[in-house]
Amino acid sequence: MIDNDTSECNQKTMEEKLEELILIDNLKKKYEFNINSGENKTFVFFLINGENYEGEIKVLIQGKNTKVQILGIIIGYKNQQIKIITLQDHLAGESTSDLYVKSALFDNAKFSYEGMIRIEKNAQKSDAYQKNQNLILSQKANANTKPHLEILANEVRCTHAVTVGDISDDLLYYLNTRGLNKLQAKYLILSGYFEEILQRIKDIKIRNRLKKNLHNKLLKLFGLKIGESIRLIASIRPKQKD
Amino acid sequence: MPYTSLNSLSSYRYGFHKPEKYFYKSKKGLSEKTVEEISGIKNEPDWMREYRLKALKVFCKKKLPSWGGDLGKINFDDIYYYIKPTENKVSSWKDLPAEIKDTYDKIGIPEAEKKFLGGISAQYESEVVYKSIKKALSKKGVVFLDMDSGLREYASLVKEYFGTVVPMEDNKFAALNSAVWSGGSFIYVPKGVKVDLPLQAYFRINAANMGQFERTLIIADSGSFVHYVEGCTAPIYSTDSLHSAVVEIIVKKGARVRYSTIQNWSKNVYNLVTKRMRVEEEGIGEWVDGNIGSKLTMKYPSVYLVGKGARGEILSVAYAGKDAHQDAGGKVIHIAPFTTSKITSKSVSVDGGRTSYRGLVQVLPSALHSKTKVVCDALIIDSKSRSDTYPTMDIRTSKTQVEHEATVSRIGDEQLFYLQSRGLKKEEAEAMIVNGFIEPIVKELPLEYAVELNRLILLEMDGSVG
Repeated sequence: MIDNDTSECNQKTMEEKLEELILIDNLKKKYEFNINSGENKTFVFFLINGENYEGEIKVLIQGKNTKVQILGIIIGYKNQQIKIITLQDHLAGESTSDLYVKSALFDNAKFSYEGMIRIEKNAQKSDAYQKNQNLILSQKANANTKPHLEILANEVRCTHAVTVGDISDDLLYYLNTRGLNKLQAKYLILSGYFEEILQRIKDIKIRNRLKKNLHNKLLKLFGLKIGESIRLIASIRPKQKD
Repeated sequence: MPYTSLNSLSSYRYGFHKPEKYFYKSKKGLSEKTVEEISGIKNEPDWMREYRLKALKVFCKKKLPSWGGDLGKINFDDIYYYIKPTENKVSSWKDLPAEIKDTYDKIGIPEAEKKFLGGISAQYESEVVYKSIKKALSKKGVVFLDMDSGLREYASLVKEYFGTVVPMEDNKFAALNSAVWSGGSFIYVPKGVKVDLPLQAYFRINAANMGQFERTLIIADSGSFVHYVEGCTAPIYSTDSLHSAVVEIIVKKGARVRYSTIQNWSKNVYNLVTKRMRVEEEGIGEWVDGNIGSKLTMKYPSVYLVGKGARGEILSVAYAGKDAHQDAGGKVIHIAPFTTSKITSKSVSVDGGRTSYRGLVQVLPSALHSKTKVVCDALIIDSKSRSDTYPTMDIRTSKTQVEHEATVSRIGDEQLFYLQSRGLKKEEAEAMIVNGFIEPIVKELPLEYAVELNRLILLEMDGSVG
């Protein structure tokens, strides 16, 4: 469902020209978006509700000088199955698309991601990026990721990067020494992990709303009390010298 | 500098024709009769004949892969599945056309290989070299034979391992190879033996050296080391449109095997190869795989890390020129704990060529504390060419670290400008940048191959850019 009522489209910010934000918080079908010349759009899929999701987001860049951002925040738990396909299809040149998807997988959650960047022959001077990071927090969770590129033009810059892994023991140890237990530490690390994506959302109202939902979900998953986050962050701040 | 002197060779693209002399040629097409005939001529044991027949059935049942390159044009009924080469190759170096000798000189092919390519296999000098190497090897107990002799002389070893790493059911072309295989190498390195010199196929001079359906089996026993070099960088002309080899390697505890290939097929060849290694505890398996030429190459050297602490490394370089499609990459399956792997791929597409990186990294729940990294870099030289990247990462455990990154770009204007300001022509500058781009892989090759590959890319790029 596209959250039209609350997404407060066409937010004008100081540094950016008209940026349109499209929030998808329940991905269960195929979406196709055409982006025309000069448009600046950010798509956010925000999937943390514990349902099974299966869907596709196709972004067709039809005009020059467009800017597209696709952001994804995914939390999977229990026996949740999440299947996402994205396409950044550059049909016209001189445009930029940037995808950044992060997932955190608990319990038996299975996440399968297939992302395609396609640069057509006529789309010279395109820039396209794709980044997918997955944290697997349970021995039984799975991530299956296929970041694909099909480049038919030569004056382009395309990169993709993927990481899959657990929270590093060093990080946990550090926070332990600061007096946090394992769950508190993991909660803080995950907050920071997703913050990187939230920061890319220019619309502050929406960003704050998503942030609140995300934090409540994380606190719940780690069995922590709501409102604990501020205390935790304060506790690891270096103490000021006298 | 070789850069300018190569202009005269720009028309040289298709390699040369190996004189077609043979003792026996099977009928075109594939049937039980053909398979039985092949087995009969080679005087094989019953189990191998049955194995071949079973594989033929699997081949007929299996469908062509729906992904990768276009395989629809292969006509399986229009292929000779077995050609027994002549035993005494009498043609002499002098008989080769002047421009081919010239090219060999310019590429700087080792003398022994020149002779081999020229079809002069029993020449005096190479025979001497071969004999001394063979003597040194057999002293250490190393077995280095062609696969047919291997089956005759080491039947029990072959029976124990044949088809265990690449079963016939693996894919349609593995089944085809299992049914009609011929030639290839059989290598056994005993416990603790380190073979200092790379073993090169062209030293193993006997019949059936280079076939369409080679089958290679390498067994490296505990603590041993061997580096095997296959193929050559000179264009191999083949009238046969299908080349489908299978390579199986068993790396036992603490052993290390490196397998280097540089293949440059003529532009009518489908090169569909299944290569796989099984690496046991603390072992190291390495593929260095270079692909130039051919119409379509589909080749993904694989490493199965089955023992604790095993390591796999794949270096792949692909160069696709006019009308060529290089669908290459690598696969690593982490099965045991504390296993590590790295895949590095470099590809260049030029003059309408297409390169595709296709790879798989799989980490099973049993592979705790494993680490893997994949890096793919692609260079697109002109607007006619195409580059794809199709990796898959299937991660089924949390205690792992998986990284993948890929970039696709072209030669930078600043790079070109700099080199041109230093007096290089545009083509020369581009060739130099391409050679620099693939350098990390080239430097892993034995010196003479590295030199050949560099020069070959210069040859290929000449006239195709600009």
